Amino acid sequence: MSDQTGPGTPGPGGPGDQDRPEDSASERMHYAGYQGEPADKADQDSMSSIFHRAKHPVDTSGAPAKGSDVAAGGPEISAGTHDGPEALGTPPHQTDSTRNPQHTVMRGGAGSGGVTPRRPRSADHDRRAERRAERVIALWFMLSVVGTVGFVITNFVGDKHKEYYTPCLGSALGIAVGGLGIGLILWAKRLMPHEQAVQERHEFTSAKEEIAVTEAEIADGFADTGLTRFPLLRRTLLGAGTVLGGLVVVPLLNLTNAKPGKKLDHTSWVKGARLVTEEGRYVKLGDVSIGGIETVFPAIPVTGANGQVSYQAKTDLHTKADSTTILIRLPPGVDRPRKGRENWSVDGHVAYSKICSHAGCPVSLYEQQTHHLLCPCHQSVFDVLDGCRAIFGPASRSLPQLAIAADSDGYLYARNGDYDEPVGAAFWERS
Amino acid sequence: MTTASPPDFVKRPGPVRKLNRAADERFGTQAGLRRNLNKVFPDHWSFMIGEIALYSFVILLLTGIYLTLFFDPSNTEVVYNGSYVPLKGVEMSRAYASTLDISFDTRAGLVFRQIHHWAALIFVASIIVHLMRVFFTGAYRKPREVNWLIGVGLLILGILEGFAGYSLPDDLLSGTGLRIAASIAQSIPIIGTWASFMVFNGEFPGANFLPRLYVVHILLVPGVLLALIGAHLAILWQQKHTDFPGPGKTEHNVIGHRVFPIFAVKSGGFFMMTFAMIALLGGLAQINPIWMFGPYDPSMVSSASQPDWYIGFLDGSTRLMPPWEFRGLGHTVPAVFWPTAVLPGILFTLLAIWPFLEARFTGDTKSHNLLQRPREAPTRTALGAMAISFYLVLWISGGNDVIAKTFSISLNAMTWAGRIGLLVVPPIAYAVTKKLCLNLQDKDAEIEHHGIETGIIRQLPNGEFVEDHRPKPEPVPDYPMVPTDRYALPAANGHGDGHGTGIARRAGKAVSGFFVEEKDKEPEAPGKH
Repeated sequence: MSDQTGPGTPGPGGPGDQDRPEDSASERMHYAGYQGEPADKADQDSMSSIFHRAKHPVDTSGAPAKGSDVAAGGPEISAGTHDGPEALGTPPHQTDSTRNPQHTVMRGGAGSGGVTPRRPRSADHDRRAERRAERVIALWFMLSVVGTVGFVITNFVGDKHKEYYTPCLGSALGIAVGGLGIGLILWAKRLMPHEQAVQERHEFTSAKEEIAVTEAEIADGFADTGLTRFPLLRRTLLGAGTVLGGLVVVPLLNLTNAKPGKKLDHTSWVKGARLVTEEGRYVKLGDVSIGGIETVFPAIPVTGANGQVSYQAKTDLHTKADSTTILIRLPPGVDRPRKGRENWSVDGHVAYSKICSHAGCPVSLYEQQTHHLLCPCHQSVFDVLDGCRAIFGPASRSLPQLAIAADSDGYLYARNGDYDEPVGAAFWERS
Repeated sequence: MTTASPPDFVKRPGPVRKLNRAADERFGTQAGLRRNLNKVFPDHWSFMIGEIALYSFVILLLTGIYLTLFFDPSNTEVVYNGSYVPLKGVEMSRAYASTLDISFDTRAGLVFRQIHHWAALIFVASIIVHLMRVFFTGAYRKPREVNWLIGVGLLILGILEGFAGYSLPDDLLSGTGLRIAASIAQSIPIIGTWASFMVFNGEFPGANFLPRLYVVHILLVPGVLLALIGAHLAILWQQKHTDFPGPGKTEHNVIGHRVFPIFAVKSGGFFMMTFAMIALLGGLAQINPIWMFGPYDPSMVSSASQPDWYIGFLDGSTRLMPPWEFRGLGHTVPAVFWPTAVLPGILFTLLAIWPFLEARFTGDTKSHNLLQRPREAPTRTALGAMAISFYLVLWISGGNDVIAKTFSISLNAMTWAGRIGLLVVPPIAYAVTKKLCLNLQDKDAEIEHHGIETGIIRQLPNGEFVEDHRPKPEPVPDYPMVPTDRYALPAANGHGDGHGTGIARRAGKAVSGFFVEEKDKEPEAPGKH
């Protein structure tokens, strides 16, 4: 770089005028600017072009760190010199000679070891820019205070039932922490010195001697325990430890207040239980129109002291979790009951478990036209006409059917009692 | 800025120096403090993704503590009488009622609840993106396999923690999720029924289940997460961060910013920015409006009920699973077992053992500190793309009902597209990615050999047109390179404190012993260690 002529002055003694470079391809390789654009475009002082700086923040021209010092600049050509648009066959421009490889330092020059730092920030050499950066950062910190104050005021003075409350709190908190965050980042970026600290890494592997000593000491210590010499000690210790570890089973088993037993096989339906809705209305023939559905729960018959039968609707969570049943009224004649279930329906009313046989979600979407039930969780589809057979999706079992009948008053009730198979998701013990 | 000779010992210390010396006299802090403050962290935007996960976790802890002060994790049924009119008089669990109270009757309750939820979503998301960064750059290679394992553990625990969290309010959506979880537990062969009864304390919905879930959510899992995050960071600190190749960078150095001050200030600012973004989300973007779902009722479900995004892939795998239930010998292995227990088991196991698999198949047992570009390891990158596409097909299928409804597509068609896509898309992703990587490698090699095209066409004397190429420039560092330590300590002389020579030390000792009451001995204090 030292023999680089000043921009615009193809110096005396410089080979520029006399020795035009050979028109060889190998030389021409270097003519172009190495920033991916013809060097001709680079004007005398690349600092003067904001566009150039924005596009190429890493200055590789070999310009010294002090940006204002242009004189020692890199291989730029003189101001106002412009080759014009590249044209085919354009001979190398006169001044191109200054960009001969031997006179053009491609990468910052040998003297700087190829290391050309990023152009310094304006704050580094301009006191006013530094103060400006400081003020901007301070402004963000002040904004953070505004956000914090806003948060406190909204929190205590704001009406928590108004719609603005939560958005205002969130925005104020965002400004409070965000202002501080932006300020901190600007502080580090604009005012702290930019440099790349180089730190050595160290091998993790220890020296062989170190390893040998450590291993030997551990082995000696182990020998001191005598575990190798006293087999009875060793075995009883292992045995006692294993047995003690078995204690973990105790808290695990204590976690449940009930063994599974046959609980999954049964629901709350009993023989004679009426079908009751969520609102506590016993479902009668005629309550559900054709194509309609009703979610029903068991109302358990209770015989009072005077022999009178009353019904107790069970709509608690536990009953709902397994006894929820969907009552569908089909148009006459479309149902194709399974063998042995011919009299499980009354006047087109069929009752199936609403708990999906796949993962236990309530099967709650009924398509009137196709008579399909759809589970919204995993899209299993059940064909109501075909005994709620699973026809699509991940469910593989039909929904269990509840046998129903109507009493003399027209109230629907469970004629056989509970479902004849477990409802809901399958499990290991289920056949 | 280069290493200077050691500064003088300040004889009249100010309060900060006094504090420093007081700590040093008790704990011998100076060498460690200096080493750690001067620790260098490399600079790359992709290294900040893991930081987002860390900061989200801190935000989760902060907002979570606030929520615990108001939340009542109880299954006890109460009649709601809060200020949300549509649910007045409705019977519900105290968990749900107190969540409503947090949302409507607690100062800053809703905003912190929403920040908590958003932070959870971003926590898992940033873990996964961080994992992809680590995977595609080969950062998990020796010596960092253990941190990879810890990271996989953090991902799994993060998903579990998120699921436990959004199950706590006991609304219709979370109750439905728990029901499915119970069915999954129930589906495990042999122990399934017992497992489900143990977790839920009886048959679903169980007895006093929410207090247990609460303990898991606020104590057990966060405790393990905290410990694992601590280990993750400690290992990172000890092993030093990986870096991409660049000017001056080798396998044996780290180039970047020192912890103090730039890295610390930048990281502090980044934490604040993460917090600010999540606070804005929590304030302005509604999430999990449990009052719209209503209390849990096992007989009801809303359509298009979607879990939080990180559960979506399991939802999708469940939806795509064909109805294959194995029955025989009086036992059943339900269809739900395979996509929800076996599949994630396989996926996470493969993920966990990947560094060891790769080391085995490539025979690469060397330690690496420099990262690779994805194109430099085409097979790994292609396998990663394959895994991502597999995950995405599952994830999209998790919302296939919403997609089907939005775009008026048959739901059955969506399901079948997912089933076929799950088998077809990953191999295509593999092939395309591998080809892409190899082509990019070719491109790199070409630039290496022929230089970069300049767009300048020239005519040779013989009439031939040629395009000028320029050699690819060596990359230059952005900023001046300086040694880590600002001051050089004289080489350790056996006593390791580096203050003075042996003779000076002995002299100092003698002097301090002689003038034991004199203040003069202060400068020689290190000699007494």
